[in-house]
Amino acid sequence: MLNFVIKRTVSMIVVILFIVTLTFVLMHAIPGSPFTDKKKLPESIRKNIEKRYHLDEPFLKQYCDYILNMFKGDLGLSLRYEGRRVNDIIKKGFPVSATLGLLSIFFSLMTGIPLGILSAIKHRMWIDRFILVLTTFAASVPGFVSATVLIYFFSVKLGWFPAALWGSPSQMVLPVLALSLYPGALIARLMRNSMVDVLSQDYISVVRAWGLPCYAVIWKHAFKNAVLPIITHLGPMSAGILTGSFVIEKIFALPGLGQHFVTSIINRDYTVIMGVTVFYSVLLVLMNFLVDMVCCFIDPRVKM
Amino acid sequence: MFRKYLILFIIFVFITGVLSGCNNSDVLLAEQQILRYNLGTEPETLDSAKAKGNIEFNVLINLFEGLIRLDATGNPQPAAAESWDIEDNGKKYIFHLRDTKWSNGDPVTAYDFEYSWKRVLNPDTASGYAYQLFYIKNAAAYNSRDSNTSSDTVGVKALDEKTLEVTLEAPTAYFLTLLASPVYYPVHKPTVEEQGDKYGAQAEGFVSNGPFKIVSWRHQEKIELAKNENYWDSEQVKLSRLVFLMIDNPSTELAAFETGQIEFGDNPPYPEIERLKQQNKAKIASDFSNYFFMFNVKKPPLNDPRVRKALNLAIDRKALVENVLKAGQVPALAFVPYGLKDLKGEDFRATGADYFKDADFEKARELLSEAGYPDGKGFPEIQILTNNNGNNKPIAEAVQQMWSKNLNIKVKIKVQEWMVYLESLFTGDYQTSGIMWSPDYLDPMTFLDIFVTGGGNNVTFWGNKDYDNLIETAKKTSDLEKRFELMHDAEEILMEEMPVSPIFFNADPYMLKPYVKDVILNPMGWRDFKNCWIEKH
Repeated sequence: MLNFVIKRTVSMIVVILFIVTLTFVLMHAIPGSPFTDKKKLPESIRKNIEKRYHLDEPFLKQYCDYILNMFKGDLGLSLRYEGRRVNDIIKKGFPVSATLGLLSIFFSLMTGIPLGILSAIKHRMWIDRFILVLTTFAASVPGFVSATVLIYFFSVKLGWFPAALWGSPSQMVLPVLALSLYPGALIARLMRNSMVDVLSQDYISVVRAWGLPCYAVIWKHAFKNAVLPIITHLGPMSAGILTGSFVIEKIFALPGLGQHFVTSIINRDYTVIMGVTVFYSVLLVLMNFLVDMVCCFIDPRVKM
Repeated sequence: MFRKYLILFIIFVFITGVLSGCNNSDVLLAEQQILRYNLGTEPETLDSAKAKGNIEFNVLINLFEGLIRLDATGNPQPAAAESWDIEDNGKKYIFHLRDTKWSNGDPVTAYDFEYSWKRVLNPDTASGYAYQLFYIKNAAAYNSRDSNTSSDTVGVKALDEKTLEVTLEAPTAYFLTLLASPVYYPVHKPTVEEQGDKYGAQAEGFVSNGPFKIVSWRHQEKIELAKNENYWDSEQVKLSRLVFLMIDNPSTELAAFETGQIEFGDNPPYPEIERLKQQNKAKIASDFSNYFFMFNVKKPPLNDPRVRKALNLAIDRKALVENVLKAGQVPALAFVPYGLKDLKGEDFRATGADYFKDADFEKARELLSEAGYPDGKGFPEIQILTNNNGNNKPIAEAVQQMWSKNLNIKVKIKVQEWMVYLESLFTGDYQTSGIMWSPDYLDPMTFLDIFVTGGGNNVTFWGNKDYDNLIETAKKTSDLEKRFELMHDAEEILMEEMPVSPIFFNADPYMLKPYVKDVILNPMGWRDFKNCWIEKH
């Protein structure tokens, strides 16, 4: 067990260093700089700005300084948002994205799992087909479309929820709904398939032959095995939700971190690009590690 | 008998008139004087030395007051300066300051202005907009790190608490309108020095001298301002609270506007503007930006002025404006937009008139055949470079269609990401491209001096000695009437050689609830809420 944890920790650090280096190189390789503007800056002014942000130093020095500061936990000053530290931007934005993400994952699980089980029980009956159509639809509509449609119906037409902004619980409803459509549908499909698989296995037939009622068969014997693929998928899925929330955050004007993930690249805000990338990679690598651990506990067949 | 009734009637009318006159504003004012305006995105900073765009300016203009404020037509009005004298043929300005206070009660002095302007110019401040102060004597030299010029030589000096003397490099006719720009605002020295790098990034401890003061700033979310009781003209300020929100997506902004989350929004979605105009929800303000196509004259066949003119005449601007853009833009048949006034108060554009006819396909084909491409034969394929921002792509597509249809030539479009696109322009790696240009100050010069030979923003790489001379003389002369003549002459050369093809003069659509009154929408695109009030509704 300890061996496993040490091995994974070392490989995690290597992965993160690799990501950081690659991002750093790519970021400087793309055309444009944080101070490229439609109105070109006079040469002397550009020099003043580059000096202030140490962009006039050799590339390797910039890289080494960055890595050193990163290990000290200092992600630097934003080049675009004057006077704001990247650490503060993350501290401010992440709780919003995380709330949004966790609520969405929770909501997708709460709807996806029951729908999947129902589908599996009513295998190949009309209700199964209906859920199939519904989930295919939900999975194929892109987030910005569903968000816009939700705003149009539930806030402009019906006036039930506010159209934008963050703060009160009622303002969370639409973005969470929009963000959980895809993962919810995915979970429903996964759950259905694995449940169908499990239900066709011999031990279930045996349990059924004992005369146990349907709910007991499902809950006590089938569920635990059927839910495994969903847990393994939760890692990448939460990655997708966290990094993919920028569209939803932009449309609903939410002050989350997802927005920075994309706008920092458009703005060439080097330190924010790096900061957000480092933060997300650490988070995702940890998340995958956690999922692996959970799988080990639930399923003894998985070796550490 | 009749006379008696008449007198009584007149007295009655008089009394009711006086009474209703007295209480007019009280009756009309809504109980809650709160305005919520969608700023669009998060301001990059509230440090006036470093702010570069209208997002930041729209907050700063309400927080601060410079020597000058602009009215709705862009005329300079006395603000922190009560009056001024112009001496030395327009090279020296003496400003007499009013008794005004900072939001914390400290007096605003001429020393504050001197400190603030020198701070902008200090190379360590690294202000990107410092060049807006280069009209001041020795400002450019002090700003350049290599020249070792001391700040004492810069032509701004407080003579006493209430008098500021400014010496310019050359007479600058539009210097007063420049003073309304945020980069010329005063900053509160103790706050700036205490907060250091954090100045302008947080609401805590922020001190300003304008109609409003900042209450809170939740990044990426909202900025709240409240009426500044220490403002010298605070009687005129009716709003008790001014809230800036940051909704980026135009459709969401529209939904927020229709559901009452905001009263004022700047970005009605383009496809909806016509409907919103009909429903009286969207309005169009004047805007002094122009949109033009640039020709890279280093790339044949665009090095031939006849080809450039042929391409210019083959564009149907009226059709483009009416069928593609549909937001009140005006076809441009010359370079400098409408609205910029000369000395007599006449419109520079109206005096200069049009330089060519819109959609003159006959002449376009003639010119093209003169250049050696009869009916487009032998004309190499040309490429329009564009990006996904705003309307750039639809405009490029419309122009592509017009050129290929009217001149029988092959035209391709290449789309690049914004920053990549800008790099392509600056390095000359393109043939032709459409771009929107907004003024830095309210004078034709802001448009004309782009195209001097070797100018940083002259990415057409066109150059003309006569043009350069005209611009340089216009910049230095103290004969202001002659100055306008010179600029007209320069524009004529520009339109004769046509390194740029003007497409349209922009319009500024916005959504405003009918009960919001007296917002000043000045032609720089800044929203001034100093006099704004909410009517009972």
